[in-house]
Amino acid sequence: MRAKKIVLTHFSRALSQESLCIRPDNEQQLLDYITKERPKRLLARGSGLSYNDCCFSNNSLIIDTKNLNHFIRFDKHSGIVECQAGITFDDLMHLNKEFIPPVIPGTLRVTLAGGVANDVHGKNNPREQSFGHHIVWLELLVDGTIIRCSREENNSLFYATIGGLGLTGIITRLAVRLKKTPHFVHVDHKPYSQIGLLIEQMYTHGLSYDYQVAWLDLLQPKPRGILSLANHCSPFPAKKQAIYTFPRVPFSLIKKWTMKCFNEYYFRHRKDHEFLSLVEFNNPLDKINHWNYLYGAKGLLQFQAVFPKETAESVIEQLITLINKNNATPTLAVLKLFTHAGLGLLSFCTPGFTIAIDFVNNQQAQQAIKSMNQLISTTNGGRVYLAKDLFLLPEQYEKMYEHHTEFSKLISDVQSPMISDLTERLGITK
Amino acid sequence: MTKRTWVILGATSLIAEQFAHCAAQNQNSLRLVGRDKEQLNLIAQDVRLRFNVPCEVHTIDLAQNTEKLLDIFSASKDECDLFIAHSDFTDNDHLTMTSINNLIKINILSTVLLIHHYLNLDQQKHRLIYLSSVAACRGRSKNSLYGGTKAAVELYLEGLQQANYPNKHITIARLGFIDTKQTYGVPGVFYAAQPKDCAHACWKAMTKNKRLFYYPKFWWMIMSIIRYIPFFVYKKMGKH
Repeated sequence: MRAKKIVLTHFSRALSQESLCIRPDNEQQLLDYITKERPKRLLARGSGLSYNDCCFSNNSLIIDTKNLNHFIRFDKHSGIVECQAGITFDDLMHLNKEFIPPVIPGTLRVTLAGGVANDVHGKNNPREQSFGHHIVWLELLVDGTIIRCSREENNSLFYATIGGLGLTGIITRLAVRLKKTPHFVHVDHKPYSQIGLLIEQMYTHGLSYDYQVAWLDLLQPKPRGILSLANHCSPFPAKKQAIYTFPRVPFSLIKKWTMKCFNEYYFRHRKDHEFLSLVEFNNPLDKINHWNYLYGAKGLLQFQAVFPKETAESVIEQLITLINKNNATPTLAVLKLFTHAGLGLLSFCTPGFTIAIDFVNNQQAQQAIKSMNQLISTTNGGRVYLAKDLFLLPEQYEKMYEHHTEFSKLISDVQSPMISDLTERLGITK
Repeated sequence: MTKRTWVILGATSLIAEQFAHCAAQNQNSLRLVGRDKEQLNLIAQDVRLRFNVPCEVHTIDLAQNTEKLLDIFSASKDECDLFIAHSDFTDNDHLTMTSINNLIKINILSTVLLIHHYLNLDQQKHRLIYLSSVAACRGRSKNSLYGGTKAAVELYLEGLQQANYPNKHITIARLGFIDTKQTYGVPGVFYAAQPKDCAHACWKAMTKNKRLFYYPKFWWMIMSIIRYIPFFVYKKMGKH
C-alpha cells in the first residue's frame, strides 16, 4: 500500500499539519499492513471533523478510514445495525425510514468511529444519554489482532474506547442500536430575555420534550436566547433539502457587526411553531457545505464545557465576563442540558448544563478560552469537552477527568501505538 | 417497463462501487462481478441494506477463466446493462511474460469476449459503459502497453458505435486521475477527482446516450493538445 504526504486540517481550520497517510480499501489491507509494518506511532482518522487536535499526530502514520464504510447487517426487530466504523451518521440516518440514530451530533458527516471516540451527545441527553450507551459491541484492531469488546467481553477496553479519543486501537466494526421513530419533529421556539429563566425552563418544562436546545445571543449587553423544544411527529411530505456550497475565501466574513445583524434578524424572525425534518432541526448547518470557510483562512475556535445546573447561571455570567474582558467575539452560542453521564472513562457528558461557544480565531479568543478553561477547571463538577479543546493544560485535564489514571494505565497495558497531538499535549500517553 | 439488472465488472473498485450505488438508487437490480469474494459480499450486502434492491455476487478471475466468463449473463432473467470497470495495470518498466499475458487477457481478451456476448444477447435494449483511460489517446513511454489495451477496446467499441445498431447504447469514459489506490501517493498526480463524482458522471453520460466523454472534463483539453503535438516534440516529453 502506497503512503502519501497530505496537509491535513480539521473542522475549525485553526490548525493544519503535513502527515504521512495511508488509505486502505478494505479491512484485510489494513490488517496486512499493520501486521507487516507494525508502525510504532499511528492514528486512525475518519472525517477529520473534530475542533481539536485529536485528529492530528505529528511524526506518526495516519490511517484514513473513509473507505471502510459498509453496512453489514440490520435487524429491524432489534434495531441493531452492524457496520464498518467509517460509516457516517448521515449513512445511518438514511438507512431506514423508520429508524434514526438515537444520538445525533451537530453534524451528520462524522464517522461512527469518531462518534465513539468522542462519545458524542445530541440535543436529547435526558432521553437517550450519549452515543456510547447505544453501542452493543465494537471491534478494535490492536497490535495486529482484532479484539471484540462489549459490556460482557473485554469490558475494560470497551469502556476505555468509548470517549477514548481513538487511543485504544483502530475501531474497525461496531454494532449500534437504532431508535424506531419517524424522521420528523414538531418544534416550539420561545424567546427569553433572561438566561436564568431559560435555564429554569430547560430543567423543568423542557424535560418533557424529546429534544431541547437554546440558542444564545452573547453579543447583546444583556444576553438573550431562544429555546427550541421538539417532539417527534407523524411523517409529512417534506421538500428535499437543497445543499449549498460556500466558496473558500481568504478573509473572514464573520465580524462582530455582521453577527449582531444576524442575531437581531434571527431573534426577530423566529417562528413560534414549525414542522421540520429531524435533519433540518438537528443539523441546520449541514445544508451549507464548508460553512466554516465563512471564518476565513484562520478558521474558528470553539469552547464547550459542562457545569452543574445549580451553578449554571453564575458560571455563564462569569464566562461572559471573561469573554468581554478579553474582547473576544462570541459568534454562536448554544446551551444544552445533560441529565446522564457518559459511559466511557473519558466521556464528556455529566449531569449539568453544557454551553458551546464559537469564536473568530484570534489572540483575544485564544486568551478568553484559556481563562474559561481555568474557570471551569476550578468549578466543582465542571468539565471542558476534549473534542473541542486546543488549549487545556495537563493539570486541568487531570482535575476534570477523574478516570485519567485508569485510562492512561489501560492504553499502556495494551501497548497501543495510537497517539495524537492532543494526547501528547495533555500527557495522556506517557 | 422491463426490469433491468446492471452487471458491474470489477465491482470492488471504488468507481464501480459508487456506480452500483447510482444504479441501485434508480431501483435497478445489480450483479457484482469480481475476484475478491469477501469484499464483493460486503459491498453487495451494503447495497442491499442501503437501497433495498436485489444484488447478486459473481466471483470470477477474469485472467484465468475465460471459458466461464459468459456465465455472468446466463443467470439473468432480466435485461442486463453492462458497466466495465475491471482492468489490469503494469507499467512498461515492469513487464514480464506473466504481466503481459495478464494485461492482454484481462484488458482485451475477456473484455472483448464479454462485450461481444453481451451485445448479442436477445434484449430489447443494451446499455454499456466502458471505463477507458486518457492513456489510450497516445502511447506514453511509461505505460504504452496498458494504454494500447485500452485503445484496442475503444477502437472496437467505436466500430460498434459506427454500425449504429438501434437500441445499443455504448458510452466510453476516458478517465484522467481519479482518487483511487492507483493514484494515491503517486508523484505527479496534480488533481484526482473523487470516485463518487466520476460514477455520477458515468451515470449522467449514460442517461444522455453520450458516445464518449472525459472525466475530469479538463482532460479533453489536455489530450486534444497532446494528440496533435508533433512527434519530435512528443519524443522529448517522454524522457525520464
